[in-house]
Amino acid sequence: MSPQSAYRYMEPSALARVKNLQLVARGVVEGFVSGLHASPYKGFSIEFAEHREYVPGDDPRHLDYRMFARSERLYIKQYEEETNMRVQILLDISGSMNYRHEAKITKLEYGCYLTAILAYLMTRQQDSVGLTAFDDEIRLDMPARSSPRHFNEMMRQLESLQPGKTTGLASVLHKLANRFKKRCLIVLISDLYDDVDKVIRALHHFRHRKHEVILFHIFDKAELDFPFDDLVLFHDLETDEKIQVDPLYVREEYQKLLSEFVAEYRRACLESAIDYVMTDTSVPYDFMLSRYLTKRNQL
Amino acid sequence: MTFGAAAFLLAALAAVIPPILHMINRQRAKQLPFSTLRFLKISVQKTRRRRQIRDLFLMLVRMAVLVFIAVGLARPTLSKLRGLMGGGQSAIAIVLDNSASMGWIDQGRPRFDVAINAANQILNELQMGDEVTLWLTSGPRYPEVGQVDRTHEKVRQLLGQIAQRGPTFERGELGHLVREARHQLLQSQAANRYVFVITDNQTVAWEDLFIEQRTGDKTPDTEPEKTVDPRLRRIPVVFVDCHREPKPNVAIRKVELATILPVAGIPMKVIVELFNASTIPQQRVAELYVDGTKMGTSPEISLPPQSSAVTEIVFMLSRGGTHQAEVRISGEDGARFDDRRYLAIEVDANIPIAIVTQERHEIPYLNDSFYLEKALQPVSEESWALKPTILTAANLTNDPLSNYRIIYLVDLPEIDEVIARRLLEFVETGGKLVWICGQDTQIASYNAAHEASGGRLLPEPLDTIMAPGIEENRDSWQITWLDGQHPALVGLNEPPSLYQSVLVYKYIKARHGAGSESRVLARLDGEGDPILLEKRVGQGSVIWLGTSVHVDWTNLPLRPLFVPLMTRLAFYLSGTEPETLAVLAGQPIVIPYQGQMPPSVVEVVPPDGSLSRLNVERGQSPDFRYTETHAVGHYLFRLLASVRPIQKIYAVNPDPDESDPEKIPRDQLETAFSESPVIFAEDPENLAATFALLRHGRSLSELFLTIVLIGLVFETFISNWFSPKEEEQQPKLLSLYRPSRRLARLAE
Repeated sequence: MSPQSAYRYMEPSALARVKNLQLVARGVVEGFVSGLHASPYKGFSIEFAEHREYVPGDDPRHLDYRMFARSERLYIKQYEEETNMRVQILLDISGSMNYRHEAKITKLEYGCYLTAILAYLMTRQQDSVGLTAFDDEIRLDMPARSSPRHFNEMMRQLESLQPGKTTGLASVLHKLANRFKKRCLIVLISDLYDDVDKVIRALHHFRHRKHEVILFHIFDKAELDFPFDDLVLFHDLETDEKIQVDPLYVREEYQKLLSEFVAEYRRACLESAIDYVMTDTSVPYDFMLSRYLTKRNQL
Repeated sequence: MTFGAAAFLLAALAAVIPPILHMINRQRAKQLPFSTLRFLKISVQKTRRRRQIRDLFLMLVRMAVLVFIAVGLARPTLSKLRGLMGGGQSAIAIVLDNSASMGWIDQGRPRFDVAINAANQILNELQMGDEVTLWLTSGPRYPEVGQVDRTHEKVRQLLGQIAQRGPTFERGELGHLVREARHQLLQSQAANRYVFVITDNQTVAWEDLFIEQRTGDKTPDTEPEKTVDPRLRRIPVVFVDCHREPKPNVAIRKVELATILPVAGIPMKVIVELFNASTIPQQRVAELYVDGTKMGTSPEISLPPQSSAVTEIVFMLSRGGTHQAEVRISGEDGARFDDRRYLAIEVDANIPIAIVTQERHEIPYLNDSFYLEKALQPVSEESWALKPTILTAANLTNDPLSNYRIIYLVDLPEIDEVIARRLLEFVETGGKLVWICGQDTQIASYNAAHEASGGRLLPEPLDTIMAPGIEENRDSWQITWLDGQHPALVGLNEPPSLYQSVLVYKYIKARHGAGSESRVLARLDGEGDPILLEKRVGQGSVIWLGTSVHVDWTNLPLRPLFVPLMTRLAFYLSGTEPETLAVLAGQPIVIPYQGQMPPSVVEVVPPDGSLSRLNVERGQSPDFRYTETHAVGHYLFRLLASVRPIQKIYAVNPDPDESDPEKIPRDQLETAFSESPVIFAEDPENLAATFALLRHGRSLSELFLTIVLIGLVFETFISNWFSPKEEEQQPKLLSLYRPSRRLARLAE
């Protein structure tokens, strides 16, 4: 499949960066096509998995004679069956994701770029990829497919996405966790501005259902650095609330609260074996993804 | 408070600028969107209080700074005194302390020089028509003192005279002088009136002020103060303190003459008390000069700081008369006036005593007074202190009894009225009578004379003659008790055999009982009858020996006790308190006539050696008073009376309190003059600043501008303290991607 540069969120340079990378499921996934990812089912395939003691009735072609020579006992080899992966990208399109200070793109646009490149990667790997966009409700729900046509449709849908209003992250995640029956890889792209405990419980819900989760926590750099100096009247992108702030006085406290917010998610993800990736819109998404995939594949 | 440039006060309106700026800044906040306000709300809430406090503090400080700048530029002055010396006629009283302590040297210069300089500065500051009055604390009474002078010439001349004379040797008292000066100023019509007090502020100089306050005495002088004339309260008092760092000083504080008998040939001593007023130990030696001749030196005296020490110089005078003595200490110190003390010592060439008997025998030892005469004059040399004269009873009628110190009446048969009266007068004016009875003593006559004198001629009335046979188995009596506490008998009662060996064969019993005023000096055994009695009468005393001094009545003259007893009694009776012939400078010398005819002329030779003849008006005064005791030293007086001239020498000394360096604290003066403005001149050598203060009042500009400076520093401090720290102001980066620990472990 060749890169579709006609799509807004498909940048050839970004694609070039990740073209040699693979996103491999860390755990076992259920697929219907024999592909990259480990299948929970052990059969006879190319990859040796483990030994099992010979019992009458086993195929003698898989006897491991070396083991016999060493131990004078009979063992047969078992092989792993590779299969394909189902990936569902969950993209937060709430009002807060529409924030941008001095960056070129909003967090939502960043998320869309990331979604596009992930989708491309999955499709190229012959994995299935789906997309769910939400704010306080699910606004777009595309099931996981691996066909090029599905990919193109996904790109078109991405381009038409508009930022929503308020965030209902936790409730949406719970709904989605119940929906996905088969094990898959969940990629959540969000700024996570919701009740932390509820979101973490929702993430645990995914893990409880044996889904693997990768969490991309998106920020704008201004949210992290709070670079404002003079007196500012901020208004909330989601609720339209206003507040006057003297940044010199609140900066330290704000950053402390933000750090605690991030730390809490990081800790929860660590405990739940969820990959937590924090980034901001000033970091090229392709660079960020490339680095993440490289490290992930090394582990 | 008044302002020299009140227009600048309008600048205080600038104080509204900070609040206005604060309001403007609030309205100019720029509007920006933000992803979520959840963290900002919490942050703002947590930091709101700190910011509000800071903003309020800063606003108030900035407003205050602007107000104080405006006030400072408006040249505020404390106008309590303003206008008193600038503009309008002035009336000034200068109270100049010229007491002895002003002769003290401070920082190399006598205080009095500083005082005169200050007085001249004040005079130079006056303008034509201003009134000035000069008051002096001590010294001669100049006619110009206390007189208002509008031309200033008389005061200048007087000041010149005083400067030439230097400080006096007298004590100064400032309280009543300041009061007098202020009362006088009340009479002036001048717009500006004030008192300058130029002094070293010795505490003793202000004692009269505080004694009245402590005791609450309402003396006539203080009464007007109590009624409080409001004009009096507006007369400020300016203190020019001439006291700086005094040079260390040792003073002769007191000199006393101590002698058991002021007679030539008898040792006497001078007790000298020195005081070290400095903070370092000092050593001194005292020297005694009599009539210009050095008579003795004390051992070196060590004086710890701020303490006194006493030393003695023993000497003996070889001739009687009045002597001019002087005690000196040598050594450079801060004051010279207290390095000498003068004394006038009067001593007799000998003690004139009279022994009166009824008759004289050709054979001396037959006289009743034979043994007595021998006891009282064992040698016939002129140098012997006692000089007995033998008299008969007839001499008592005519001879002046005042020629004698002691009169022994030995076995006089009777005492007539004239003799009794003369003897009584003799005793009452200080003479000593010793009655010695004998065979011829007529008890009835003695008792009658005693009674007629009101019981003062004898110690006790007489009773009977006690002789052997009166008591069974007794031919004599023993002295069983001698009063060893009596000054004349100290030591004579040891060993007891000294007096117990005395036998009395006959004696006249005296009626001594409980409540008697006489003192028993010796008793006999048996009924314990007193044999020796003493009684104080007027300025003199009478002694009664109940037995004779002849061997017919007692073996006393033959016993070892007799001679020391008689001489001791004689010396005891002759001894008197040395007459105080000294006064302090400035105090009058009073010479009593002592019953004699007053003189018509008195010649006075003061210490400078000049001779003055003063005519004395014969009036009712019992004494002569001489008040011009301003110089220290010896004053010789010759009272030229018609009967017999009296020559007296008096010593005049500086007041020892003038050597007390203690200075009165300022707050005490402020309290004492609390109803009036009080100013203390900072530099007595240069009163320009004081005059400027009087003219313009106390400027507060510097104070206000200092407050502004402090306010600006405070504002900076507050601003920095409440503002976020440097690291807080720099945007802190939160770390971006950080792999989870599990992944990091696997990567390792």
